Amino acid sequence: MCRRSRAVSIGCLIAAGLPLLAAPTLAAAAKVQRWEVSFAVRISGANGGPISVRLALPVSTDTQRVTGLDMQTRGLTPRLVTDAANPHLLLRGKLKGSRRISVSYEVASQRERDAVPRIEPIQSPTANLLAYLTPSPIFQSRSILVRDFLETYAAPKLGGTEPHLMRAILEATREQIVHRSDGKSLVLDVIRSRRAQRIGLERTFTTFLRCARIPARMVEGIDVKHTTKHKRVFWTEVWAQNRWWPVSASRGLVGKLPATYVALTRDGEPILSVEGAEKATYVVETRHLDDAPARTAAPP
Amino acid sequence: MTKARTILAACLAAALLVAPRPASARRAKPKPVRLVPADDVALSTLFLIGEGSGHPVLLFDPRDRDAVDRFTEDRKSAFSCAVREQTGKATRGLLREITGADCDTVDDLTALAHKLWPAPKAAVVTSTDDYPWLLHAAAFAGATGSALLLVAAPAALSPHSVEGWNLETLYLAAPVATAAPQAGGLAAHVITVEQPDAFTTELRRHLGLTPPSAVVIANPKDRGGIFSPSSLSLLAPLLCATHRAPLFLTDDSAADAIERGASAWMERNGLQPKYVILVGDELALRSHLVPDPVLQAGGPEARGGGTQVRVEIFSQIQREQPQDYAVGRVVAEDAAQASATLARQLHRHRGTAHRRPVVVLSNADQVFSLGETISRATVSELRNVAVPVRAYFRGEVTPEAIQQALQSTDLLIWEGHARDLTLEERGGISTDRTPETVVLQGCYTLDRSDPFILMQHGTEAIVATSAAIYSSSGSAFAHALIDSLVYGHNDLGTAVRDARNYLLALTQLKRNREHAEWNKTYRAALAFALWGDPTLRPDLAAKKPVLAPVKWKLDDGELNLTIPQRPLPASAAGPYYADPVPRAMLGGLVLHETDAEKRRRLKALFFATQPQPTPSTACAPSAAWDVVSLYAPLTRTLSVLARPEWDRMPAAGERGTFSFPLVPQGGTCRDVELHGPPAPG
Repeated sequence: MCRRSRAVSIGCLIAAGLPLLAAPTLAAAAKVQRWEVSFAVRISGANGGPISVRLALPVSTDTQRVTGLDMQTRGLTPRLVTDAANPHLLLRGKLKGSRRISVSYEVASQRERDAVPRIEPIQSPTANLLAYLTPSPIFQSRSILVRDFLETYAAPKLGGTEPHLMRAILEATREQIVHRSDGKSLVLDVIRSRRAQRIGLERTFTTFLRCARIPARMVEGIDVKHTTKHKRVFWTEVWAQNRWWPVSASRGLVGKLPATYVALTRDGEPILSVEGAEKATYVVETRHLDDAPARTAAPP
Repeated sequence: MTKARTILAACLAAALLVAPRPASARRAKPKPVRLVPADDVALSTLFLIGEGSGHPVLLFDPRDRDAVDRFTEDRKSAFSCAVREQTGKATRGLLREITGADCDTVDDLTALAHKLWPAPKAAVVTSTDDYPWLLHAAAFAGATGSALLLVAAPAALSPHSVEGWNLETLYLAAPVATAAPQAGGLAAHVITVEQPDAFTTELRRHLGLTPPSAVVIANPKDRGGIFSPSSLSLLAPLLCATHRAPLFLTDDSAADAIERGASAWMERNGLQPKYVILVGDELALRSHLVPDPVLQAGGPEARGGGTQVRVEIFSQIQREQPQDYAVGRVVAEDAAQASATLARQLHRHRGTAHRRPVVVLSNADQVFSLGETISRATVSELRNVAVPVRAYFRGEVTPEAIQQALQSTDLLIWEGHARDLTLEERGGISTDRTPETVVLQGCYTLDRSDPFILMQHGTEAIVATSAAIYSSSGSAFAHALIDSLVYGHNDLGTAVRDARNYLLALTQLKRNREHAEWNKTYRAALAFALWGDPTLRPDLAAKKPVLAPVKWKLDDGELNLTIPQRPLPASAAGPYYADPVPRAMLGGLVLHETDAEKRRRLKALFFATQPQPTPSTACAPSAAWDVVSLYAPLTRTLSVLARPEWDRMPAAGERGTFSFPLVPQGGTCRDVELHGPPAPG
């Protein structure tokens, strides 16, 4: 049953067969946590013309399953974009002044079960991995500063009989770049100053990996346990054995991210963006559901 | 008859090998392209110096198969390739796919040398196992048109090695010096080269009255490393061949060590080059790391987190001395890419019928009014010498305009916040072709991915920065650079040198006049550098100026400055405007006077770089002038920056002829105050 009677519900559509949130089954043996996630979005500065709001949605993976999308769009027309890599909700319509909308869903998540395997550079990447090896304005992987850093700080860690490239880069990153809340967020600024916010650390780590020909992408998500209004968290995913594995330079984690981390966007895609209005802001609220009945994804 | 033909062929071959190739060389038809595996040092070296001056030799990296397509775009080139027995199957397969035929298999490097040099006067022998000596020997062979014989061991040298050649001289490099006894009858003269300096001496002797105008510096250790084995040193012999230049190898990547070693080598060998060509990236040949002068003076940390400025080797500017040599750095991510860049430079195929307009993209972020005013004046200077220009400012600089510019010009000037011109937002490269020369006048533009991508897609030279720079200083640099190119008819290396020296002189002028922020200009002077061969000349084809420019003339111990009457069309942006005469310099000095629209006027300055055999200082014509002199002792050039105080010369009307007496450096200028301001000429 849709929770809010006046809301436009896409949960029904999902249950009817849209693939976006039709999740793989989580492993029964691992502990699963269930959370309700609610985005309260405020759009302001619209001049009466058409606007378009884009809100990232979680993708269902081996470790997180999403159900029961629900929303109050207040005159804006929703469209669910079921892009496998970047699912999102598009809200369109005409708007003058400000408006608040809300979007909520349930997330069931668990920790990564498998140990991260040895991560090796890929010499002949397939077409779908090329995007995660090439530079972009955010990931300046062909910068001389990047190669200089790797040669100076990561290369000396590769002297053993079984050098582990990814771990050497992770160690060098964590040793040389200090996390500071007032640090830099752009990769080249981080390398120059050696001070980084968490987002800067993950961007830089992702960039280093790409330079070393290890497919890598940066993830932005939320930690449902955080008390901040955005609950933002960042980590990196690396490719090995035909799947992505989570690694975090800013948290020092290899593999086992907390189950409370929910992935929302990748490679710098913003969680929320707006066209046609001055700005859109959001606040995330979460509620632990393990003691509450599960929200149904089936039509009434 | 046969002998005469052989001699003729030898002369032609030698001429092809040793003749300097002007950067603007044009040929009607694309030449056949030779592909050689980049990881085969011996084969690559032989083809590069044996054929590289005559037609394109591309080092092939199987990880970048597209490099061949990028190089041959618009060409209908014939291909050939050469491999050896040990060449991997995958590489052979890719080469076959590209060329449409099996590659020539080279079993015998000696036989290959005989093919490449059918009738040399001299030959140089070295071992394939000693990479630094291989580079030295190849560089010397390339610069002198000698054959290069590569042997596995001294014992491999035999009469068979030189059979069919009639050698006057056989040079034995140190790794094969023990072959001297068996080499006695192989040539009229056998010279054992125990030290690399001996090659330099021999080259000087070979060149006779025409001493080398360039030297090449590389680091053979650049083949090591895990993340960045650029191996660019492999290209150093080709540059030596092209410029008939001697080679200096360093095994220390530190800037001071390189300068010390190379300077001592030049002094030992009596070398007085104009050009220094660095072949290596920032890991192989490191720049000086100089504390940010703005930060040092208590100013704010630069945006972008930089606390140091990377200052190019042989700049001198960090010592507050003028840059003496014209310095350029041949850079790429690997030797394969660098070989394509050099092949483009040497064998550029460009139509002469239609010269493409220069494109200026300025102030895209609409925050640099002062810099934009100077940019607009730069555009006026180009138009004054009939160089076609398309200029885009502020909102006109759209992604579409950038894409169009990348494909449609041979000289692109970007002025403003650094931005990746070639990268798409979500990754991927947005253009197939890039301009031959790109000026990236913005903060830290050498640090980004863009320079490497530009080079990979066709750019031969990039002028950019290693630090955050303020817009007026950056635009003043670009203005001075264009001045040196179009009015001075200089090559890129000289133009960059002159423009940096202009900023250094401006720094000193500001400091002398107690400007609080002189160190901002100094940071810009430190930060600019040239990636590419310093002898390159953008093909601008400047014509006779429409409006007479400022003229400097050295006459009887005086520098005479003539300031013409008619200014360029006024340039304006935001609250600023400039109305300089042609060849006047700008630099962010703003006057209090305003025009009818209450815009503030930029102060025009006058700058010249002149040959001057003796160390000299220029004196002010009167007390109404501030003058800064910079004397570069190695190239014996005097740079003079002059700032008039027109309010103190009301009769001059901002024009006239003014004499700047020269005195020996360190000497005292006469007390000009006693003589008062001169009457306008």
